[in-house]
Amino acid sequence: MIFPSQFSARGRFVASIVALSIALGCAPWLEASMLRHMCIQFPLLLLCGWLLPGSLAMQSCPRRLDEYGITGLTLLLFVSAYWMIPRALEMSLTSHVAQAGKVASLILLGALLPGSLKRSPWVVQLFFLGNFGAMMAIAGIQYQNMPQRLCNAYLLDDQNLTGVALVAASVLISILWCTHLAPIISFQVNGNPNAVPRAESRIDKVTRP
Amino acid sequence: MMTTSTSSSNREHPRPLLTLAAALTVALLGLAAIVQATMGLNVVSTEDGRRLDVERTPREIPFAAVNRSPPTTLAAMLRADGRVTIVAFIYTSCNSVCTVLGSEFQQMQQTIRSRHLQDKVRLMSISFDPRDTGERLASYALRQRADPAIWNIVGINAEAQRNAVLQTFGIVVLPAPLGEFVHNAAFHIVDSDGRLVKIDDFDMPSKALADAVAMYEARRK
Repeated sequence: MIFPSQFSARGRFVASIVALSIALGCAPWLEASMLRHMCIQFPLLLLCGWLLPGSLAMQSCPRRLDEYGITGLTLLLFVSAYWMIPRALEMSLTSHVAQAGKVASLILLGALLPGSLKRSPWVVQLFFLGNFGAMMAIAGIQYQNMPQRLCNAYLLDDQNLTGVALVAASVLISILWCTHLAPIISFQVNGNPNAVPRAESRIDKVTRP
Repeated sequence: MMTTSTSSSNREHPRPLLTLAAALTVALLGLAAIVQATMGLNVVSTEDGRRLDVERTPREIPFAAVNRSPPTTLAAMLRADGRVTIVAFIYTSCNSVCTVLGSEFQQMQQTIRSRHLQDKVRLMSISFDPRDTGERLASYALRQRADPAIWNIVGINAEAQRNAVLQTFGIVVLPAPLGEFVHNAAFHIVDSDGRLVKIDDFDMPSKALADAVAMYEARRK
């Protein structure tokens, strides 16, 4: 997983601004399709927060508020659930307040996630990311199965395609998480068959064997 | 000896209360936002939200001049004679759902005639397509065999007024392949005061008619 500390501050800042400019500058084009809205603009806004130089400070500052990454991962569940509600998604097109809320919530989530993931033990990650992935997959299946349009602003074909993309994304995230975590678990299981990986086993600190 | 992450970390962080409070705050705010977006966990789609919202708070129809002679306004037509109006949005070059809506209205016109409801209920098709001139609407009316005493077909020439009407009704028109439009088609029931009070599904014309008649009867009492 890419953590902001792997890049220089200037590089992160530039990349963050580029992501934000594309997400906002191309908003009319991105938001004209449900697929581009959810699967390009959302990740761009998350990336903007993720790379934000300030996110380094945010990682250390709220540590006491975010032990084991529980607060940040709770935010992940609620922010993602909210923006997968079709009515909420469409309100971001028609209301400036909702649009600002969307941009702010996704950037904030992106800024908090690297720290939260670092602080969270794998069991906590399994719980939250498992919930997140299941929720996204179920929403994706619903999007594909609905005979009627969920958003008045998007066509049915677009909605079906977005459903496929959401399911694909949830599978991809699960696979990435597993492949990233596998070395930790196998290492620890080999070390002590009874040991449950401890809180200090943070996935970013692992060097591959 | 089993060591769990909780026991080892509790020694590091003796007071997890701050985190619990923060996570709880996030969860409560998130839940409040979700309840708000789903109108009290009642709807997920925009269309269901529009229908529920109209039922909770009826909407006044804004001023719009319609392309008829003699000139009149949409609100004046809707309030003209105490009848309840079932409104559908159309465009005359449509080959998909509006054709269905057109034939639905044809059948409803028949039903209104045979059940002698023409003093209680009226049908109105409003075009959202600026290309639909008075002439095109007249030829559409002819094709649909619309009886002007029961079924009016109108367009709104001024773009701002047309958009205001579409916005009040909550109609979203999308350009679709092959020069078609896609829109949230439905039967909109407007009471004799010219307020949009209910929206019924476009595949349930008999329900729309029953609702309209019930609304008329309720007003009479």
